[in-house]
Amino acid sequence: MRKIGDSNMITIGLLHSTIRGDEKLILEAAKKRKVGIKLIDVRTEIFNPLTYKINFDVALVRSVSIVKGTYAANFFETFGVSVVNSSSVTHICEDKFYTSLYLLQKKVPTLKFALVFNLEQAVQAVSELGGFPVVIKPPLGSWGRLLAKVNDMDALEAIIEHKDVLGSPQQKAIYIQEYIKKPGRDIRSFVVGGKAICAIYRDSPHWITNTARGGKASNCPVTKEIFRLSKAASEAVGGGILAMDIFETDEGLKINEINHTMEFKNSEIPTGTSISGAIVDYCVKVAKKT
Amino acid sequence: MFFVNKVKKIDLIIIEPIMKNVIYFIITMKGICSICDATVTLSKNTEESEIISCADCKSRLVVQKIAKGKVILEKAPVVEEDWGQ
Repeated sequence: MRKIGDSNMITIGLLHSTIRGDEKLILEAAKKRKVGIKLIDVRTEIFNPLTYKINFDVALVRSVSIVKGTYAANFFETFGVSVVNSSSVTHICEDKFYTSLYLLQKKVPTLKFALVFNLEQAVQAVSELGGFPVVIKPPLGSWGRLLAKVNDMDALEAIIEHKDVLGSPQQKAIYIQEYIKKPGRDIRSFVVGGKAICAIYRDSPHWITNTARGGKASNCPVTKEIFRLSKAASEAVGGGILAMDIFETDEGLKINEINHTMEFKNSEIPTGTSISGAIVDYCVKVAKKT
Repeated sequence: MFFVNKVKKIDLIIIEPIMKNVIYFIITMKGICSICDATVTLSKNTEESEIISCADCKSRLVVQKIAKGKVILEKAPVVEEDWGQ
């Protein structure tokens, strides 16, 4: 564990694996605010409840590995440490099917979806979702990986066979979403403590608009609709520091996915917002409450 | 005038490059690329576990360790199935 900062200040335990530009921005923001940071590499810690010494006030999960970050979050929660985001929020947001269920439960506008485990069910589900094209995604996954826009039965059969033969048990859970023809972009709002502090458009000629897949970020004004939708979605999954992926549809804005370990380094400049500062401020607020 | 010009010349040719190198040394660290052995220059605020790129061979490297001004670089880990946001 490495510590940065004065021992009398509030200290955030930053649970990390690879240090990205996002984590560096958080470190800078903490330094400016005289907030201490303990860097905790989850890959090298020994999470032994009998011997582990906790000397920070709140844990901030920034591990690129979702699995490692989740185990670490659960560990610290067991000892009464507040974790941002909590293990329950992570559990919901890391799985697209769970996310959809929680949004549906709270009547937050989201895309139509289904989950199936074989081809026969998939064919029926596609029909129920309004026919082709549909989007097939792994329930667990990020950065626009392994997404498939399925245009016809041939493609559906091929993808499901591939998943059946090559996939892990998790990959054999087939999450199907209605396909939305986007206006060449989608919206990502950055939500801290239930408030959308800023948003970006992600423009791409490709139907996958993740910046990891080449989508270009530009400022998107936070309208009342974006603010309300983001707030409702955040409350539906338990709050915290979240990034909402939003589609503009014929029926208004809808939530596509929610990210619980959001990346934001390419969004601070276009939006003129210190997202990293907001994250640090939120962690301090959480630490002071406990 | 001659004297002033002489001083300006000394400053330009000798002192300025020295100062630039001193400042460069203060704000940077160096490591060796584990793939191609090129010298990799890193800023002083580089953190352990940070991913950087070798300017020579373009390999992705991870800053394995920083100790007493020495930087150890290794090949960056490959992206795994559960990586993301």
